Amino acid sequence: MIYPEPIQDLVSQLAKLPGVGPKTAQRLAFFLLNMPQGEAELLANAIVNARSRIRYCSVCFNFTDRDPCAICRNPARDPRTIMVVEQPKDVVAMEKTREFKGRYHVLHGAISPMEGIGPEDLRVKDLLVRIQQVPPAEIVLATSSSLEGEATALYLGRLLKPMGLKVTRIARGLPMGGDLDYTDEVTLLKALEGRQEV
Amino acid sequence: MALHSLAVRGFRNLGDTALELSPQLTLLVGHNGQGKTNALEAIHVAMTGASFRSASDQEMVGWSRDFAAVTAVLKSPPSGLVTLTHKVTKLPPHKKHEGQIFPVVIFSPDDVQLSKGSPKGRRRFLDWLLASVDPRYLRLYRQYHRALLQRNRVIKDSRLWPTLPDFTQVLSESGLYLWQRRREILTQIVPGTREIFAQLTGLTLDCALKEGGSPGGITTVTAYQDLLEARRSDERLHQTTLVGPHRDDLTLTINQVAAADYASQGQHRAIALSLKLASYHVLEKETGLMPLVLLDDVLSELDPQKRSRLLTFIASSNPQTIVTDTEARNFENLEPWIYTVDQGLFTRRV
Repeated sequence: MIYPEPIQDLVSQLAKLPGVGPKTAQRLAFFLLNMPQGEAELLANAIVNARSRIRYCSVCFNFTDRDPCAICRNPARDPRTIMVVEQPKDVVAMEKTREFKGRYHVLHGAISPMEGIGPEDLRVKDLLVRIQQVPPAEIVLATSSSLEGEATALYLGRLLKPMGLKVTRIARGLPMGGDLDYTDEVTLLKALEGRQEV
Repeated sequence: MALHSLAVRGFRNLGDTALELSPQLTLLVGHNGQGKTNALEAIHVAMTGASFRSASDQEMVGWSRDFAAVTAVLKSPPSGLVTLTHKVTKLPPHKKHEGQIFPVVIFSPDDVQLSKGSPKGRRRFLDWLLASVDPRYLRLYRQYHRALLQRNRVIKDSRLWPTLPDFTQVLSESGLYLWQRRREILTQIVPGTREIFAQLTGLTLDCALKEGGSPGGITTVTAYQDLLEARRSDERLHQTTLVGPHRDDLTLTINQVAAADYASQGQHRAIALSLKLASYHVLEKETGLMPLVLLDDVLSELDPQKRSRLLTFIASSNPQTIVTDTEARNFENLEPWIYTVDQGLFTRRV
């Protein structure tokens, strides 16, 4: 069935969203059309607003509405400790622990040759510039423990170590509640390497 | 543990139906193309989460169906019934099967490719055996192959060359484990294989792991990386990773002569039968479960001597067995349940 052009347009725009196929896009489009006019406008405005007001923090490249971002502006946060993460959502996850008192650097991805993503497609150069401006006491590599996250951490380690910086990697290994018996050897080896005195 | 019954929906040409199985021997009898092998495949999928044919999930879904579901009901004393359901859709699966796999050994005419065919089939055999013994192996296997894909991309793209050492590192970590596990499983399966082969042919079979691009026996990540480093210019030339388990082979020799080049058809079949029978015993020992045995049109293919060896194994080890054949044949002292398979439907003969 062929819809009027404005509906088709809406469907094809929605279908660009991650995890949304043509069928879901159609369903969402009709949902939006059945919404009260005001509700739909609130959503549209929210999108426009977020897009126009949110930008990258010029220091850490996290999303922010004020540059520099709240964390980079906060004098209580130690600028000499930088935690490198893949995504803005990783900052949120780490902040929930309330344990980390340093600042962040968001790469916006991990090195993945299959997807054509190399170091220059990430915020690596910006990290180097930042380090030269304010030499940190420690850089914490907190990329994910996926294959790509590991490779990215290894790459950054090789890049930063020769600059005489203290570079650390967050511990990998057993999840809390994880069963030793069900853990593969590579993970177990990482857990063993990262063991600590009790 | 015994497979009590199987229920299928939307699976290839099979009707939406359920089938009760004998704790000992079940025969599925029918003409070609009626669904005998599809029934064995459905059982394999339910028990292990994967097909024994190198089929994509999509192929297993019947025409004009959206998905296929297979459910196996297992009886395991004393706890009672265990139900395993596996659903396949036409879309690629979101989550790969992990966790408990029930051991299944299938004998089929294609087994001869283990000896005659390409190294890929022999690697697949080792991987199947390892994954059946230890489901954790699958994770390492997938991790290795992902690392391999990534590293091969790096080799092809000079822009990414600065990241080569990092992908070499992640590749070698999982690759080393694959090698170690393959060596271990081989030491377990070789003695039994040699013994059965000697019984069948009176000849000596040797079976060794030829590690891809390596003199063999590497035990450290550093030594692994040295091998890769030594082949660096070759890798640029061939645009691919030349060292690692993805290039392994199983070398088979009969009285010190390469089986691939010189073995007769009968000897190829004897090698395949020996490897499969030996893997049954390894699986039984390692999992503590009695593997389910599937015979796919294999009895009519084998010569009388090998057929009798297989039948002796079934009579003596007495595993739960499901056999497909074009005609019902006698199994000496066993009383099989017999089903006629016709256009995807099963009728019990009484």
